[in-house]
Amino acid sequence: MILHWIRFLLGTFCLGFGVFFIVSSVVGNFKFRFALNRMHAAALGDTLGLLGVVVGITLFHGLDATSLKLLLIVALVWITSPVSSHLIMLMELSNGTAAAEVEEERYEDATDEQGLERSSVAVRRRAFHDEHAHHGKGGKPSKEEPKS
Amino acid sequence: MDPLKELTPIVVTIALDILAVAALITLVRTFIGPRKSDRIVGVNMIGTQAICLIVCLVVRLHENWLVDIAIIYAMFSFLAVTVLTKMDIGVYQQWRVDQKKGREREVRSGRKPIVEPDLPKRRKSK
Repeated sequence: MILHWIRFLLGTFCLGFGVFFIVSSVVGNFKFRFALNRMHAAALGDTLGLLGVVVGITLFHGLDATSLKLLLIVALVWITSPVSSHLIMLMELSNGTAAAEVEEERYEDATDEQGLERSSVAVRRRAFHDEHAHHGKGGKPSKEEPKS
Repeated sequence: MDPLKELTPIVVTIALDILAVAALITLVRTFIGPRKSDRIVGVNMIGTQAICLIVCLVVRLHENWLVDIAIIYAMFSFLAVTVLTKMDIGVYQQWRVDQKKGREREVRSGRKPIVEPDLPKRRKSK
């Protein structure tokens, strides 16, 4: 009976831990502004949230073939979640103007234009610059712009 | 009184309720996400929360085969995110190839080539 109480209390603690992390990932998804920041909150729920819920349910269920399958789910999600985060990051970097704003602040002091030219960062910054040069609010067009 | 038999369904039901509300709120975020990548992040989160819901139902309903469904759900969630992002990355790469080809055609036809503007200067405002 004492062992059952210990299992129940430990399982409740682990389940609450996992649910807390999932709820905080949802809150973080609303707090952050850019998708690159939101991925951070999503990864929180993917790793610790799922681990807490699965360990809690394993303690409730007892050791079995089913609990091994439950741990297999954790292994699967822990392998696939960084890959999907990486793909989302590639997608955001390949066509994002929000990412271009972030990169613009990061690379504003960069002097190695040769290196920037080769990366896709330069292409996106140029696209962002063009968009804002055409739709600028009363600003003069920059002198470097070619006259057609 | 055996806590594993009598108190476990109550605890798991509370966890299921909280997870369901979290999934609904994430669905709202997915709807109002301004960009495509925000929506894909939301879909990824809903997939994880659905896996947690199915795992909780294993103990609540005493059905062990639901674990297999959770494994398959994890695989399909990863497949969906991969396909959605790869489609978008492929479209962007095609656009870049087309732009490069257009620039080469411009040069070959003898017209003035497109002069790329310099990198933007440091922004004062914002």
